[in-house]
Amino acid sequence: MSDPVHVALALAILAPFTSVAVVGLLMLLGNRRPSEETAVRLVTVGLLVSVLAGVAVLGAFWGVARAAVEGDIEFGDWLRIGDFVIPAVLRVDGISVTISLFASVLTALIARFSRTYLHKEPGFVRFFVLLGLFATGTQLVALAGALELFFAGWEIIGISSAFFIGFFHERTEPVRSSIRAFATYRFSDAGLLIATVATLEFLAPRVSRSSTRAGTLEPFQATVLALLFLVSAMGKSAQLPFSGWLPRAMEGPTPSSALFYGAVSIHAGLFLLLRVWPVLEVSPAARAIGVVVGLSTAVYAALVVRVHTDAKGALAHATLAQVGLILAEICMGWTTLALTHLVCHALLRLGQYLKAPT
Amino acid sequence: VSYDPAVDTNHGVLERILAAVGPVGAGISLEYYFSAVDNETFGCGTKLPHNVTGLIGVMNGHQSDLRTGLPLQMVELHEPMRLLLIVDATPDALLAVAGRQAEVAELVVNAWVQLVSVHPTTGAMAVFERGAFVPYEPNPTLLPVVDRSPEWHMCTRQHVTPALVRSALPASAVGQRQHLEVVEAGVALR
Repeated sequence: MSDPVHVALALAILAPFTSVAVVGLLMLLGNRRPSEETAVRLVTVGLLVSVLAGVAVLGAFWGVARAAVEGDIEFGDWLRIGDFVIPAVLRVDGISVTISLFASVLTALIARFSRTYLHKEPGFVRFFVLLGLFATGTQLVALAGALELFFAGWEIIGISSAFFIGFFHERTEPVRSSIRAFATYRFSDAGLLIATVATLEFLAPRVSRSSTRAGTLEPFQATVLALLFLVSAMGKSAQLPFSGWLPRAMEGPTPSSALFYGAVSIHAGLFLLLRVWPVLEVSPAARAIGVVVGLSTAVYAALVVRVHTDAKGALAHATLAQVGLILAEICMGWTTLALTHLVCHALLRLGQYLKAPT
Repeated sequence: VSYDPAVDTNHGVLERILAAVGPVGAGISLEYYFSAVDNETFGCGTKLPHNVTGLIGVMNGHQSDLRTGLPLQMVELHEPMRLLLIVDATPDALLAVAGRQAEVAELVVNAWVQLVSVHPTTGAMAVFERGAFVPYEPNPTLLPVVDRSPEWHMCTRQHVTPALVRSALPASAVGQRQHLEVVEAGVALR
């Protein structure tokens, strides 16, 4: 554990979580709510530590000052029941490092932006708690080396997303939209959960190990797994037929809409597919379905954008069109292009969403 | 608005200016007032979920009625004030104009705006109160004095009473020791 890579990886995930826990405890136990300044400071420190840890992991990955690190980093067992073991293992490779650093930097930027944007808002402290929770989830998803950890982070993103959409819970419309998004997530997340359990049956539990052993899967098994992953990704990334929740998700505050539905959360499904690419690779049927879904979403969303009258709804569909294209790229096997497209697209949309109200 | 009563013998210019400035200025002031009175109904609530729609207005999130008025964040910042119109014209001229312009008359008679006449030759001021112009009697009060405006507004989130900000004035306008005792009184007040 004294190894710097271990420390950096753990900090990337645990720093935002710790600050959220502290602010949350202050909210629950203190006799009055923590001030805006306290909440902002604690959460910002957590997010900045996460960014620095991400930079350190990137340095280790590039081999700055010592031998380059790549592959699985073991943290012992998360759960052990007899022979059944769920390992706590994080993964360092090109995709995980990119997404981890990218997500933490964007979240920290949004935190800085929201500090003035949400000034004096009644839910100010709640917003920052949810932001820190989201950062924890994205780091867990980005760095997870096993599907179980990935699923945990995936659910944290889902729940914080639902809470952000229902941020103004005193009105009925945001709550209704929030439940709609939550229900869609629940349905599609079942795919990931079943796939996780099925992977345990078919293979050793790790994503990485599955990548080396994906070739040993029966074609039928690979197709089932790939389709389950695909359903989960389609729900998170609002592909057809799950697109309905995305425009409704614009009920939340602008900065969280930008971060979730412009930049990070909407691309999480694509990230899942990049992560499990070895399984997808050996299943042409699932990839064909993915291409069809992606392209039809792109066409549908591009058409809707042409006639949409409100700024955020139009942006939501413009985002969908690009996400559909990226999904098609992944399923056609152009993973490097997809990753580049994803990062560039997320940066552009983040800016566009933030500028949408003015 | 610049206006010279000497060349405007039949008050035509005054009439056009008042018909434009009165309702527009009053509209702005009243927008602030009503948005502050009930921000959810007359204003448009917090700006956080706002979504620009069809380039004609904003709605909340992805579907709602178009919102009216000003957002909460603007009303917190600016205190609603009744418009104060100070016009370089005689009370008679103003009454004649207001009589012809129904919109201006409504605003003035129903006290949505305050109208003050400054007599072009004597400089005497008269304020319109309860249906007639009455001579304005200045009621001099000493203002609290602060060096910089943050000293006055930093301690509170409420709207604050007027104060004299020394750094905003030329040195000649504020004597070195002129308002010293008032400063102390002001501090005691707070």
